[in-house]
Amino acid sequence: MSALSLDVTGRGIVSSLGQSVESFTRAQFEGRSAIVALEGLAFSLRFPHAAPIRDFDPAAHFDDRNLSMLDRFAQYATVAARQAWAESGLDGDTVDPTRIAVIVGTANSGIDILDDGFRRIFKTGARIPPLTIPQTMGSAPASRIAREIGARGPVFGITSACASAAHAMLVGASMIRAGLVDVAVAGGTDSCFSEGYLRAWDALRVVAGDTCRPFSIGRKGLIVGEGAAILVLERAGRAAARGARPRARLLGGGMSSDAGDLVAPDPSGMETAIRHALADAGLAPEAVGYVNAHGTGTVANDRAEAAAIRAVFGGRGEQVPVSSTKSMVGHAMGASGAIEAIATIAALEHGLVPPTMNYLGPDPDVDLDPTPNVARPAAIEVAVSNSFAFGGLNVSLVFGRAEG
Amino acid sequence: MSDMAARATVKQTDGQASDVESRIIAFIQKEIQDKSVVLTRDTRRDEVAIDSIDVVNVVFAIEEEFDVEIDLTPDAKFETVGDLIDTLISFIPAERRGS
Repeated sequence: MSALSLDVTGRGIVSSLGQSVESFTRAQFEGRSAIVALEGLAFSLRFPHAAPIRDFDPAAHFDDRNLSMLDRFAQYATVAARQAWAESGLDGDTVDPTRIAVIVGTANSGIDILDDGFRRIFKTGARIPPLTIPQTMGSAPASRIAREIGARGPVFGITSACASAAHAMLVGASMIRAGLVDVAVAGGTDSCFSEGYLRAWDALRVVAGDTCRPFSIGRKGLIVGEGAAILVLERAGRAAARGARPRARLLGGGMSSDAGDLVAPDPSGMETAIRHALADAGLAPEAVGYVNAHGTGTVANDRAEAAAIRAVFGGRGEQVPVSSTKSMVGHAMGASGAIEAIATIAALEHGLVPPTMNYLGPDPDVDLDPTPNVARPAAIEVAVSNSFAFGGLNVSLVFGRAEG
Repeated sequence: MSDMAARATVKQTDGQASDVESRIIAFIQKEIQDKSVVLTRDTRRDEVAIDSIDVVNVVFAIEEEFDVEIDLTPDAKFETVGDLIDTLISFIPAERRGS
C-alpha cells in the first residue's frame, strides 16, 4: 500500500438523502431516491424534478446574528464540518491549530444571497442586506469552519465546477503529504435552488425531464441536487497514536484537464485522472473493487466515463462494479465529490456496493457493470471515486478500507 | 396629543416597543451577542459587546423599518446606547417616527 496514505477520521454530510452520515448511508444502501417533484415554484421550468434538501432548518443551527453572515451554502458546509470534526475527536489539545488546513470547494459560491440581492436591486428596488458581500465569497464556508474549529493554518475556497470538492480534498491531502499541515478539513458545498440558478440550468437543456438514470438506456440528463460534505484527513498513524478510529484511508489521487471542450467530456482526460490516481496510490487496476462514478446521467458523460473506466479496468477478467450516487441525490455540483467520497467510504466500511437507481436496462454504448437498482455485497478493499467537471477538469480519488 | 393618545402611548411603551426610541432599542437588543444584557440609554459601549456587524445589522433593520437612509459607518463612535439611538433617530424624519 501507498506510503503516502492518509487516514479519514471524520465525516459530515448535509444531503437530500440525509443530514447525517448514518442516515445517508442507510438510504443509499436501501436505494432510496431524494428526487422529487418541484412544487410551489413561482416560475416555470422544463424539468419538473430535482433533489433539494428538505427539513434543513437554519435556525436550528445558527442564531440570527450568524445567519446574517452565512449564505445557505456556507450553512450546509458548516453543519457538515461540525459533524466531521466531532467524529474525528480532534480539538485544540490534539493538534496544533496552525497545522490545520480548511479547504472547501464550491461551484456556485453565495448564489442565494446574490440572486436575492439582484432581485431586490433590479425588480423591487429594495435595499440589500448589509453583509451581502461577505456572504457571497466562495471562501466563506472555509472561513466559517476555521473559526468554529479554531483552524489557524491554510484556509481557502477552491473552485472547479463539479470537481470542486474532489480538488479540495486532494489539495488538503497534498498539503499533509508535503508536511505543511497535520490535519486537513476538506470537502465541498453548494446551494442550488435559487430561481436564477434553476433557470440557468433550464437554459442549458441538460436536465432530465424525468429522473436521473446514470448509465441506463433512456437516460435523459442530470437532476439538480445540492448539499455539502466534509472529511477530516490526517497524516497516517496520527489517529492511531491518539486512540482515534480511522474510517477509511485516502490512498491517492489523480488530476487532469481535457484542455478541450467547455461542456463535452473527453474520455482520455477522465482516463488520465484515474490512471494517475492509481499510480499515486501505487496500485494496479486489479486492486480496485468498486468505482463510484461521476455518473451524471447525461448521455455524453456516461458514455465517456464508461469508455474511460473500460480503458483502465477493461483488461480484467471480471468487470469492476460501478455505481452513481447521483441516481439518488441528483447532482450536488461543487459538493458532489465529497458526498460521493462519503458514499464510497460507506461501501468500503460495509462491504456493499451502493446501487445505481432508476436503471431501465443496458445501453449498448455503455459497457460496464452499473450495479442496477439493488445494493450488492462485495468485499471491497480499494475503491475509486470520480469527479469530472464542465471545462474538462477531472479528479479521481482512491480510498482504502480502514485497517483493523 | 390628546389624553387618550398619550395614555395609549404610555401603555404601549410598557412592554412592546411603541415609540421610536424603544423600537430602536429593541433592534439593538436583538443584535447584541450577550442576550442577558438589558440595554438602557445609559448602557456604555464598553459594557456590552456591540461590534461593526451588529451596527450594520441595526442600521439595515432601521432603514427597512422606517424607510430611511442612514449615513452611518460601521465604525461610528458612540459612548452610550443613548448616543447611538440619538444618532440613528436624527436620520429619521419626524413624520416617520410614529408606528
